[in-house]
Amino acid sequence: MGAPETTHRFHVGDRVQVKRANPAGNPRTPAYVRGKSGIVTALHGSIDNPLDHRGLYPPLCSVLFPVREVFGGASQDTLSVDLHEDWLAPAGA
Amino acid sequence: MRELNIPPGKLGKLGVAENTATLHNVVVCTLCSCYPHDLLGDPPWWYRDDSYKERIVRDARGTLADRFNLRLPDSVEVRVHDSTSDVRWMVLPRRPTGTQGWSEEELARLVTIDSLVGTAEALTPAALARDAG
Repeated sequence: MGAPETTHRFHVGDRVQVKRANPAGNPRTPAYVRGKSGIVTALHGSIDNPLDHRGLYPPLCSVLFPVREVFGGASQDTLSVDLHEDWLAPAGA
Repeated sequence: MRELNIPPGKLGKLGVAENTATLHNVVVCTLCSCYPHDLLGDPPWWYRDDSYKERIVRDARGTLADRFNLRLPDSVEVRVHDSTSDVRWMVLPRRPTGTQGWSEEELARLVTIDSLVGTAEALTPAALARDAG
């Protein structure tokens, strides 16, 4: 295992959509955000975490979602979910 | 972390979400129970409870009010952080009013476990005096 890969495909402010499924990827993406769109708010790089991961996971982003877009309703509140980039695709503007 | 001699890699990365006058943060790990154990010790028992995990993401404001008796005004956005074991989040509570000139040690007495998860605010000086009395 080499040095952590920290090159992000996305930038802060990018609008991204979470994939509905990612069979080859890691399972650490909560079901409730799959298929939903949000905004990248922080880039954490690829974090060396040998106790929890087999090998090195792709870079991790914090993605901000309005609660109403994830669960419906009229909430003005937000959800910040940390997601690995292999789960993310660019979302239309 | 360096000051406390916590080895990097054991904890992943520490995320700190700072509360402000217009933003209140609260932490959960819906997939397991990731928490900055090495820094903060064990989380409160309910942090591992499915009823907390399921409800806090759907209705944080209602959960805080009903379950934790923390009522936040509409002018404050509530933001839930769903963690992985890569970045483990804690909340930095707001400094209560009336604590100007307090030492680090005195301020630390206002910090509760719940305030570091975001299900409570830091104690007020009045609450601390009540608890002590």
